[in-house]
Amino acid sequence: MSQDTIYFFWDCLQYLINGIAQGSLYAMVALGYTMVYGIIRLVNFAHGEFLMMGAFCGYFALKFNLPMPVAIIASMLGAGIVALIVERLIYRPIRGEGRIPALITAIGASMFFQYTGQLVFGADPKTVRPVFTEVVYNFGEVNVSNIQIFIFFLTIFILIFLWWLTHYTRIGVAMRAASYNLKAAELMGINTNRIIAFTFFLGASLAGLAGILMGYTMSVEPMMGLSLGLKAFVAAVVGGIGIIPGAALGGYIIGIAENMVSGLYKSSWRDGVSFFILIIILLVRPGGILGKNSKEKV
Amino acid sequence: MSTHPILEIKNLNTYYGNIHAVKNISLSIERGEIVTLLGSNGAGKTTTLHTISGLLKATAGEINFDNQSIQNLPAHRITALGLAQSPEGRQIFANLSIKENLDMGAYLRRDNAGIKTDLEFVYNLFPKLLERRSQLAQTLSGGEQQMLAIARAYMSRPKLLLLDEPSLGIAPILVGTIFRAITEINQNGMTILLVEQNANLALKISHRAYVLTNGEITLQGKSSELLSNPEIKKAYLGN
Ligand SMILES: Nc1ncnc2c1ncn2[C@@H]1O[C@H](COP(=O)(O)OP(=O)(O)O)[C@@H](O)[C@H]1O
Ligand SMILES: [Mg+2]
Repeated sequence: MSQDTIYFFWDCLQYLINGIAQGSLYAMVALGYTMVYGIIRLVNFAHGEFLMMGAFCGYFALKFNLPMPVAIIASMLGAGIVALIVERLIYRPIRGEGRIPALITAIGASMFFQYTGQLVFGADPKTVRPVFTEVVYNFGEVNVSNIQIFIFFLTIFILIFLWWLTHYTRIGVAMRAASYNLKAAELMGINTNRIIAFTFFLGASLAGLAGILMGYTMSVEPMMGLSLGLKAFVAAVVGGIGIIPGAALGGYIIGIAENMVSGLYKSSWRDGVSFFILIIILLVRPGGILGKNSKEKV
Repeated sequence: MSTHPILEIKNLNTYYGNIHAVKNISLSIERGEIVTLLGSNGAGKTTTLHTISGLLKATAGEINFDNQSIQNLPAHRITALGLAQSPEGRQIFANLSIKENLDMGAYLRRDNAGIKTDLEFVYNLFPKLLERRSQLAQTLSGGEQQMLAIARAYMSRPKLLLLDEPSLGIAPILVGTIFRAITEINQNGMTILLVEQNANLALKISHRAYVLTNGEITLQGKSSELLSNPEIKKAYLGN
């Protein structure tokens, strides 16, 4: 094998590692997207803004010299509380009015946070320091940072946690029941409004977590939710919207594809590739990779 | 024990937009009874049950359950008061296992010993459910799904159990099983409001019945008497 070929493989491995770390963060954001869709069939365009609001909470916590773990909790709680307010004041009153009004409302909520964010926080990007001091390990020609490893295992932990929650806890099984049939769940005595609110809170807090962890690659600014939200949406649809493992799979696919394409070809294609994948999936498997591709359930 | 009826409905009216589906109906159910609500397709039976359960809101009228006015409560609060429904078309959670469906029936309960007893009761009633308890509910046949829907509603240990067309669209051999189970549940002390189009069987196992026609109650009385009523025979018994 020529020297060039060997380096090509080392490069690919490096992009793969970077892609998995990036994809883990997309997965975290996509999980909330998919859970909310699963329970009320709402494509929540404001999900990226929950992430942004959470990231700002983390940013301010750090600015006030609070320790990193507190900043992480602030991000998660901040995003979760914003989601609870949006659900209660905006989404709940129009629930049952149809999907198009809900979609338009979600886009409106998203824009409200983007522009109010610019007004209140300023449009300039702000840096958030990485969760901990970055240490880079070399394996042959590839580099892996402790942050990447942390993010990867954290995402795996979150997936296991969500599996446990939805299969072994009363509220989690109720979430699955409600996502299948809201009215029947209500007949069981399940307060479905509370289950929906809890789902929003949980999904948004994962977005907030991703928001602050992203500090190691990108800055915090009011429009950050736009592209991240879109990518998470693409990830959720690619994996099969409404399906929790699908969101994770979609996140990894988008993260890896982006890093491969921008590394091996052109970095300007980075954002385009996720939409390319989306179009292919919608043509080949409209229900997503893990989706049933049958008529949508109730 | 109170001598008031467990359920008392007075001048109830429910609309879907402009459609007046339930027109000024009044009915009452005594503790321990099986009461049948009879009516052909589109008569307003499901609408009545949904209004009682709180899935639909009445525009006028009163619903008193166990000495309490319930017409303004959300559905989950009404279930908490001890009123459960096995809805039309079964509406089981197909994505959950059979056991998880039953757990959801018992969602509001904390008395583990009582839950265990009731679980044994429904498994005894419908052994198929025990056999397949860890399988997804979507793998059940229509008749088995109906058994699950009844068992799930039973698991909340309600004071009043509403059953919406439990014999609809299921294999004839299973219809007998379902009706025997309904009788057994009633003999176990549970009051039942049974909605049916299968007038013959429903009137045979119930104590009293109401007939709903175009959203109005047109006839009521003892089931045994209605069985021999010429009007009923003509309209619902096919002879
Ligand atoms: N969701 C709905 N929207 C509008 N009309 C409805 C709806 N559901 C039922 N109806 C109408 O209300 C009337 C009563 O329906 P329903 O209560 O389902 O009757 P039944 O259960 O006795 O067959 C029918 O005329 C039916 O067409
Ligand atoms: Mg009906």
